[in-house]
Amino acid sequence: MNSFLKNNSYSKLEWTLMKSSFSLIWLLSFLLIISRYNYAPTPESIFKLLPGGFYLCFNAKIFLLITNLLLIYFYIIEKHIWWSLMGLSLISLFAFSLEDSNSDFNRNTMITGVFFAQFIAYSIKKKYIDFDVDKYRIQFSVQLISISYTISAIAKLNTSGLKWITDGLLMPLQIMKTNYFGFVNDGNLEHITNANHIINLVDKYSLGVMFVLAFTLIIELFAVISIINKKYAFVYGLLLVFMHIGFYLVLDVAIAGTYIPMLIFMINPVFIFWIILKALKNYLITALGSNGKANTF
Amino acid sequence: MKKVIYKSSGFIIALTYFIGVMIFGEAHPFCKFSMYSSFADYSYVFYFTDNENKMIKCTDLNTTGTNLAHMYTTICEKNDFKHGHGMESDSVLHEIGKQMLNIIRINNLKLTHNNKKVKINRMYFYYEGKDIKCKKQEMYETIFK
Repeated sequence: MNSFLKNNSYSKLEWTLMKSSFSLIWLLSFLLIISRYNYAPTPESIFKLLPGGFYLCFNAKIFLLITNLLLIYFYIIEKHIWWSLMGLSLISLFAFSLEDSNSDFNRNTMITGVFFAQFIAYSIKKKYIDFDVDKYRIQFSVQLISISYTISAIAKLNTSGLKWITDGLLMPLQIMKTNYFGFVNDGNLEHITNANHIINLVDKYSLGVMFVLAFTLIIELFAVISIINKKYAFVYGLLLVFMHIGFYLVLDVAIAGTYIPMLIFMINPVFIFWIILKALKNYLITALGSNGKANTF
Repeated sequence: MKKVIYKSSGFIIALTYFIGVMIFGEAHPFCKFSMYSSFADYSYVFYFTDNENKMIKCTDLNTTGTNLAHMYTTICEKNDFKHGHGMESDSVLHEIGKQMLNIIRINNLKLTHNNKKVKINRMYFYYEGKDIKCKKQEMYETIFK
């Protein structure tokens, strides 16, 4: 574990696991969007550039799905990767713009952004053969993710200033809102019970709430330091995980388009799981081996 | 050129994205992540009911509570309707509700709610002293065809 952090480069396995997890998330998001939306009633992003109405027919959806699956396949097996990343970036741009154009702002900018960042890394490699693409295809992704958090903190400071921390005492209304969102989604009354419980806690520990908000603001503001090296990215990733857990527990909000790319490229949980399994296997082999010796004696 | 790219590769994407956000604002893939950048002293929640005034789950209509809230803001901004703090008149709420249900309808042409009455309503949460109050208002109703 320690050696994987000490070394500021990324192994082929790490990259493959990152790509595979990321592709899965992208594919699920894509399927959700094309199953939900046919039109762009409130045009945003690239849909603002399209003249007239827009309709995504069934055949076009099937074509997009097949193309997407092919591109994901080439992306994972690392063939025609420059073309694959260009295609994935464009389809991602299209799909999430369609989602935004239905006022469904799920802040999936990091997914498109990461595809573009990796596409840029491979574009540089295409021009300059000695460019360390093995490192920068991931480091570029981390850059995009970490700057997004910093931008989020700047938006808070820009809109509310440091008052954002004390304004947190108005949080019960937001807690009420986000939990009611859950209730109107699935009709489960537990969301409302949860809201009342959290509001009581917030009222009781208002100083603690302000402390947590200050902590959140600082973590977000300095997230960009994750670009220094792999170790910083990993440690900062853990801090961001704590922040997201806090957000989920208090506000019932989990912005998947933000925390999942962060998890994949800054922490890489599947790879960590693989390291743990490998260590466990080695431990068992050693333990059973020495047991075997003891029995022989 | 090569030297510049190599020297800046440790931060070039972050810098480019930051500049992109400054220029393009909220246009995918750029985003200011301005949600929760302030804690308003009011909040709105939107929900659907049927002809018996029973709640229809948002998931049944291919949407979410968050989506409806975003839709409300988008429509207000596109139509220059002043909004927030419960200031919207009944007629404005009626018009917004109409546009919201229209958006919901066009993405639900094949769903089971065809030919059923769907009403959109708003809950307005606000403080009265230290207590949180909730005002429920009907916005618009239509039959999904």
